[in-house]
Amino acid sequence: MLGVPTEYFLVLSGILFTIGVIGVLIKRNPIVIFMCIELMLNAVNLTFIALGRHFVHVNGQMYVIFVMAVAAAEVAIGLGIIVALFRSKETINIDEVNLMKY
Amino acid sequence: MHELPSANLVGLITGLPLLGFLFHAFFGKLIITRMGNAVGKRVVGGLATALVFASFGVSLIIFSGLLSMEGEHKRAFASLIPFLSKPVAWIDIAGFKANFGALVDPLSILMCLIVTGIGGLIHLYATGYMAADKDYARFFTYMNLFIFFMLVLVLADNILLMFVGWEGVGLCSYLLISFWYEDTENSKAGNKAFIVNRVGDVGYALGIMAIFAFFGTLTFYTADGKGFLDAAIAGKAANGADFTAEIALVIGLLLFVGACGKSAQFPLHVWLPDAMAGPTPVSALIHAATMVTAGVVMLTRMSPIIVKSETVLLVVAVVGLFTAIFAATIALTQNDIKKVLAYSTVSQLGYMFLGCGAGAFGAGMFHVTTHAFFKALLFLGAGSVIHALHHEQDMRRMGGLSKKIKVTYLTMLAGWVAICGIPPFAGFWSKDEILGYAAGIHSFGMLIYAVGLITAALTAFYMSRLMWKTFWSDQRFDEAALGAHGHGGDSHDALHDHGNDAHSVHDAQPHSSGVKESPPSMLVPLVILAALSVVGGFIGTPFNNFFEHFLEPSIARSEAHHGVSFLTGAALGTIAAAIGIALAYTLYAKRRATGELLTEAQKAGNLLYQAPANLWYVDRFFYDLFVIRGGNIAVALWRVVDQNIIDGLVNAVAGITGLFSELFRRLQTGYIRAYALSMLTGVVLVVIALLWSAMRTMGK
Amino acid sequence: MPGSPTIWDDLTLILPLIVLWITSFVLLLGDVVVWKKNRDLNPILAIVGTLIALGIAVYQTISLTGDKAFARSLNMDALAQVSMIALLVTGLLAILLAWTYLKNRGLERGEYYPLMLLSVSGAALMGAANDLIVLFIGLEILSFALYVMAGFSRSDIRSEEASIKYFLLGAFASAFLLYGIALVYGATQTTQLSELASRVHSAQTPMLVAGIGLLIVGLGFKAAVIPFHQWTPDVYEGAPTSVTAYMAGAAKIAAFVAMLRVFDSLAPVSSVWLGAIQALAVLTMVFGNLLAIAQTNVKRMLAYSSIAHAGYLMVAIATLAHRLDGPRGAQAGELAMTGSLFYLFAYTFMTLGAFGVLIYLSNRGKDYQQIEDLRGLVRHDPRTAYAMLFFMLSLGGIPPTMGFMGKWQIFYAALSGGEIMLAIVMALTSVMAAFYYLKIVYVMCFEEPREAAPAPAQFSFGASLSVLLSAAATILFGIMPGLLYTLTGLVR
Repeated sequence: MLGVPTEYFLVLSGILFTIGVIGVLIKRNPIVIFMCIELMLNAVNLTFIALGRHFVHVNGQMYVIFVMAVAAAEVAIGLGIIVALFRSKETINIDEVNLMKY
Repeated sequence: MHELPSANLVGLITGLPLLGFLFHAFFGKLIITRMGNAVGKRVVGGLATALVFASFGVSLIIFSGLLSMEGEHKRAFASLIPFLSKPVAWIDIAGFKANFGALVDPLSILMCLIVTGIGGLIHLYATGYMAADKDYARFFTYMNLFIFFMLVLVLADNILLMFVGWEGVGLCSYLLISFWYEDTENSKAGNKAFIVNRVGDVGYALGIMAIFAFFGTLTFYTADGKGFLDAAIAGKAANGADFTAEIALVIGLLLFVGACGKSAQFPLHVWLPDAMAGPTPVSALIHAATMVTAGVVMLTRMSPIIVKSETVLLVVAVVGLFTAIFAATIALTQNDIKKVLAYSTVSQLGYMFLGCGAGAFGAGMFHVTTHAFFKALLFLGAGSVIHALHHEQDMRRMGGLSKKIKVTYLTMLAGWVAICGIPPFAGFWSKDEILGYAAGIHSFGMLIYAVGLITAALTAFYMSRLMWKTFWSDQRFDEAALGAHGHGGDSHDALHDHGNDAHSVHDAQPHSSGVKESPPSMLVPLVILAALSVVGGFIGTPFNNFFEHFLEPSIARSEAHHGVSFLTGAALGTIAAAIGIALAYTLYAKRRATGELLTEAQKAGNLLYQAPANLWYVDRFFYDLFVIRGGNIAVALWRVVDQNIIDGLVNAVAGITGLFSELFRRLQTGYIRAYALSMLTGVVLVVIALLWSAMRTMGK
Repeated sequence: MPGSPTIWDDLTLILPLIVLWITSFVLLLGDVVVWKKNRDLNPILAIVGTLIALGIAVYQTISLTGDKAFARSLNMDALAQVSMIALLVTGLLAILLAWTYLKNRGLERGEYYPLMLLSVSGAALMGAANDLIVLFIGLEILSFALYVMAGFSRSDIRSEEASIKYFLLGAFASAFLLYGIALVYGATQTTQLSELASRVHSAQTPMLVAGIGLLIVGLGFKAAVIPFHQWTPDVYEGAPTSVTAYMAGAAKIAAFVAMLRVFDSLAPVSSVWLGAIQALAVLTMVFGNLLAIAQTNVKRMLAYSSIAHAGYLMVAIATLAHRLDGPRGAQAGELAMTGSLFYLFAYTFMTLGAFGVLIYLSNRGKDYQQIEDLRGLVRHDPRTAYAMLFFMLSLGGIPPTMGFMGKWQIFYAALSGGEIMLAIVMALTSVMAAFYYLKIVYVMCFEEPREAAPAPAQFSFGASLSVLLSAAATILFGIMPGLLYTLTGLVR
C-alpha cells in the first residue's frame, strides 16, 4: 500500500488523545473541557480509520459513523446540561461546582 | 408399615404457626381496632392459641403414625411444605445441598409435642395475662413466629436448616425480651441476650463448616444412608476418610460452644436471668421450657459425633455439673421470684448437660421433658402471683399467699414437689436417671455424683425458700395499698430487677385493689401443667422405661451405664431433697414474720452470701472488661473521630477504622478535575500493571 | 435452524427492546400532544410497557429462543435474557418509586419515563452485546439518559452539579473505553467478542494489552470501581432520589454483565489482566467499605456501599479468569457467572428497597437523606423501619437474607477458583460493612427521636408497592434461593 504508513496515523492519534486528556485536566471552562473530550473521541476515530485502511476492512470506517453519531448526541446533552448549570449558578467555572464532597 | 402414614401432613406442624404469624403481622392490629378491644383481642389471642393447638393435634397424628412404623429406625423424611410428601431442594449449588425437609423421628416428634403442647398452654395463659396490653397483636405475632422457628429447629433434616431455626428462635427471644421496649432496661436485656448468643453461634457456624469440610454433606440422615450422621455411625466419611476421635473432638467442641450459648451454660449463662425482663409467658415458654433446651436437643441429635470423643463427653459433663451447682448457689440469694426461677433453670439445664456428658442422652431428654412441665408451671405460677400482687416481684414483700390464691398455691405446690425430686413426682425420675448415669462416668463418677446430690439438696432448699417467702410466711405487704401504687418503679432491687413485668395486667383493672386470683384462662394451663408435673414422670420409670425406649432410634449407642443401683440412687436422692427441705423448714419456720434468714448487716459482712448474691461476679467481670474498659478506649477515639458508632467492645476497632475513613474521605475533594486526575492515575497504573504482567508471562 | 435468519427473526429476538422504544415514543408524543395535563398516565403507560416487555423477555427466556442476531453483533443468549429481566424489574420498581416522588416535587415532566425506558434499553443492549461497538453504543444510550435524569431537578443546584460531574467524567471515561476498543481492534482485527476469544491468545501485543487496560477503565468507571469511582457519591447524593435508586441498580447490572461478557472472552489471556483485576477488587472492597463508615448522609453512604458491592463483584470477575484452568476452574467460572447474576438481582432489590424507604419517607414533605433523619424511626413508623432494617441486613450480607445468599455464592466461587486471598479480603471487609449498615439499624431502633413524631407519611401507592415488592423478593429469595437459581442457573 502506498502513502503514509499506518504507524504515523496511530502515533498522531495517540498524541491527539493525550492532548485531549491534558486539556480535560487543566481547563476550567466546561465547554473547553468538553471540546477536549471531543478531541479524544476524534483521535480514536482517526485510529479506527487508519486501522480500517490498514486491514482493508470496511468495519473500521463504519465504526467512525457510529462514534460520530454518539458524539453528536453527546454534544446536545452536554450543552444542555452546561446551559442549565449556567442558569442556576451564573458561572461556568467548574472549580466552583463543588457543593458535594467528602 | 415402613412408610410413615400421613407424611404429607408434617408440613402443617410448622405451617400452622407460620400462618398465625403472617395473619397477625398483617391483620392483627387491624382486627383489634376494627372489632373493638374486647372482641378483637379475643379473636387474635384465640386464633393464635388455636393454631398452636392445631399444630399439636397434627403432631399427635404424626406421633401415632411413628409408633405404628415398623423396623429398627423409625425414621421418615418429609417436606416442611404442607401437603407435599417429598422434601424440595432449598439450596443446591456445586455439591452444597440442603433440603427444605423434615426429619421425622422420635426425637423430633417428642420436641414437637413439647413445643406445641406446652406452647399452646402458654398461649392460652397469655390470652389472660396480656389481656390489657396495648401491643397485644404484636405479642402473639412474635409468639407464633417463635413456635414456627422452634419447630423448624427440631424438625430440620439438615444442620443448616436447623441453624435457621436456631437463629430464628434467637431473634424471637430478642424481640420478646425487649417487648416493652420503652424501658431501656428491657432493651438492654434483649441486647445482652442477642450479643451473648452470637458468641455461641460463632461456634455453631464453625461447627457446620467443619462438618461440611469433613463429611461433604449437611444432611443428618438420608434414606440411602448418605447423611453425615449415618457416616459418623459407620465411622467413615463419604470419601472414605476415617472418622477419628480427633475430628469428633473438633466438631463436638464447636457445636458444644453453640449449645452453651443457647442453653445458658457457664460462662455464657449471663443472658438468661436478664432475659426475665420479658413478659412472664415468654419466660415460661422460651426461657424455661423450650428454646433454652435447644442446646440439649442439638447435642442429642449430634450424639453419633459426640460419643466418638471421650474428651467432648467429659467437657460437656463437667461444664454441666459446674453450671448446675454454680447457678444453684446464686438462686439461694435472689429475692426476685423470677430471678430465682431463672437461676434454677440454668441449674437444671446444667443437669441436662451432665446427662448428655455421661452419654445418657435419653436421660437428658427425659429431664428436658419433665423440666418443661414443672418449670413452665412454676413460671406461670409465679406470673399468677405477680398478677395477684399487682406487679410485685420481690419476695420480701410477699408472704401468706397460700390462703389467698388457693389454686395458684396448690399448683405451685405440685411444681415444688416435682423440682425438689420427691418420689414419685416428675422431677424425681429424670433427675435420678441423670445422676445414676453420671455416677458411672469413668472412675471419678462418684465424685460427680456427690456434687450432683449436693446440688439437688440446694435445689430443694432454694425452692422451699421460695415457697416459704411467698406462701407460708406471714404476710409482709399492705393489702389495701395494692394496686394503688404506680408501675413498680419503687420495688427495684437496684442491680438486677426490672420489676415492670405484668404492668399490662395491672392496667387491666386500674381501680381494683387487694389480692385477686387470676382468671380461668390463666388457671386452666396451671392445673394441666400441675397434673403433668405430678404424673409426667411415669413415662420414664426404670421399671418400664417407655420414654427412653421410644427415643432409642434417635440416639447413638454409648457406654453410659448406671453407677449406682436404682434403689440406692432413689434413696440418696430423696434424702438429699429431704435435707434441703428440712433445712429450709428449720431455718425459715423460726423467722415466720420476716421471712429473712440473715439481717442486712449480716448479709453485708458475709462473703459466703455476698459472692453468690453478686452472681459470683461473672456479670460484673464481663461488664468491666467489655463495656467499661472497651468503652473508655472507644470514647477516647470517638472524640477524635467525632462519630457516633455503636458502643461496646467493637468501638476500638470501629474508632480506628472511622479515623481512616475520615482521613481518606478528604481525597474526595468535590473538584471534577481532581476526579479526572484520579481516573487518569488509575488508567496509567492499570495499563502499566497489564503491560508488566504481560511482559512477565511472555518472558516465561 | 432451517434457512438463513431474516431480519424478522432478528427483530423478534429484540422484541422487548422494541416494546420499550415504542412505549417511550408514545409517552413523549402523548405527553406533549394528546393527554397533556393528565400526568398520571405517564407512569401507568410506562409500567404497562415495561410489563409487556418483561412478559416477552420471560417467555423468550423460558423457551430459550436465544441466538446471535444482527450479523452476530448481538448475542441473545441466556445471559442477555436474564440480565434483561433483571433490568426490566429494576425499571419497574424505579417507575413505581418515581411516581409520587416526582409529583410532590413538581418534577412530573413528560420526559422522565421515556428517558428511563430508553436507558433500560441501552443497558439491555450492553448486556446483549457481542460486539464491542454495540457495547459502547449501549453504554452511551444508558449514560446519556442518566446524565439528563441526574440533573432532572433543574431548580436544585445539587442536582445540576451531579449532572455536570457525571456527564464530564462519564464522557471522559467513555473516550478511554472507545480508545480501548480501537486498540483491541487494531491488535485482533475484530471487535466481536466471540471472535476475540479465539484470536486473543495469538495476538498478545502491547497494543492488545493496552487496549484491555482501557476496557477495564471504561467499564470500571460505570461499575464504580476504585479509583474510577469518585463521581459515585456526589452523583448519588445530588441526583433526585428516584433517579439515584434507578441508576444504582441499572448501571451496576449493565456494567457487570458487560464485564462478564468481555472478560469471559478474554479468559485465554487471563494472565495479563488477572493481576490488575485482583488489585482493583481489593482496593474497591477495602476503600468502598472504609469510606462508607464516616458518611452521615444515607444516599452517600449507599453510594459507597455500591462501590463496595462493585468490589465483591470484581471478585467474581477475577474468578472468571480461571475458567480455562481445568474442570475445577471451569466449575468456579460457572459459579462466578451464575453467582454474580444472583448477586446483581439481590443488589438491585435491596438497593432499590433502601432508596425506596427514603423516598417513601420523603412524602412527609422534607427530603429524608441524613442518617439523623432516621433517628428513632421504629417508634413512629415501625413498618417502614423494619423494611429498612431488613434491607440493611441484606446489604450487610447477614443470613438469612438474599444479600447473604449472593455474597456467599461469589465467596464460594472464589474459594473453588483458588482466589483465596480475595475471598479472605471479601470476608474481612464484609465485617467492616456491618458497621455502617448496623449503624443505621442502631439509629432507627435504639435511639430516641429528636423531635416530635412528624405527620405520618402521606400514603403513596407506588413507593409502598415498590418497597413491598423489594422486601418480599429479598426475603423470599433469601429463604428460598432455589427459586432464583432456576433463572440464574440458565447462564452456563
